[in-house]
Amino acid sequence: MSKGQLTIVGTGIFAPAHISQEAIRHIQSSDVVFATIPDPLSMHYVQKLNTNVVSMGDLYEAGEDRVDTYEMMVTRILNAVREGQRVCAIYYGHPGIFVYAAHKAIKLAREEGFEANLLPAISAEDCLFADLGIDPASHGCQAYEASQFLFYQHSINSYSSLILWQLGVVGDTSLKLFRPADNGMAMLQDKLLTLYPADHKVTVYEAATLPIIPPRIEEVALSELSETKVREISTLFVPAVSFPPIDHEFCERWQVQP
Amino acid sequence: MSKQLTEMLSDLGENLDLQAAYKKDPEAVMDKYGIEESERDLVRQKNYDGIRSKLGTDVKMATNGFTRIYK
Repeated sequence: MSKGQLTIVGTGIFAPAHISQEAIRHIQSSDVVFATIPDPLSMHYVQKLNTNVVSMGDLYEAGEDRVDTYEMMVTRILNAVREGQRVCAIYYGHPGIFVYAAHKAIKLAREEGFEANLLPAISAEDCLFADLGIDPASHGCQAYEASQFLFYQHSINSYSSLILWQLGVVGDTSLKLFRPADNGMAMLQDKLLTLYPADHKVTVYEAATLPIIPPRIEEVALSELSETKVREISTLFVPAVSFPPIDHEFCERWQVQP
Repeated sequence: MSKQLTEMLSDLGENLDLQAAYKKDPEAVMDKYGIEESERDLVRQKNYDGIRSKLGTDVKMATNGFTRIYK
């Protein structure tokens, strides 16, 4: 029996344009492709590349909660690798960004002695920088999963940009919802108001996934955020309040001229 | 899932000449693909949620990370 191997790739956000040449070769040459792809256009393309594509969509119905679903994905992927198959798992966006199952599958496959690689892909963050005209070099950039931002005491630097992901499930502790908790957006607004002024302009962003519809770039005052509609692909961009003050003591000590 | 709409949007995503033709005359491109009237309206209105529904987008598969509160 041939030794199984695993490669995990991403579709990017806008397929097929965002799928890398490297990912295409792996999709084409694999015995089976496990696809976690919400977008039928991407699925349509992947099915042209390989005739044995298995959607992971059924696991979202079978799982008791989202974590259960992700664990079942890992099991499905690993079982095929153990059978000696060349397995490709493909996820929406970048397969290593906000994809629990991808990292766990790679880790377990390697522990069991299989060759396993996760390839980079275009993420929503890449699209955000391009569409909003943001260069993280100018202010720096922080990024958190939106619920993690709510429930943990992160030290937020308001002199740097802040990106919050997965607004579509913000505040959900049951891990069963595919929408924000009933007060999720209100909690998010409340916490942000402890860090930023009420009139601070924030942007609800959704990368383009269809060729005929541009990205959603909706700027609102922070005080209006809780009333703003979000989808499962929505991201929040919070710009820096200003440049930070210069560290004069450090500059003088090292004789750096501002 | 709408086969014609999927074909048209897939091709638009790959083909720059088709994109140019669509910008110039979207109705002609929709004629070419045999897009039915209810779908044309969604496309004309750029109704994102409506188009995704017609395509059969499974929004659950877009969320693959989670946060738990650990004590």
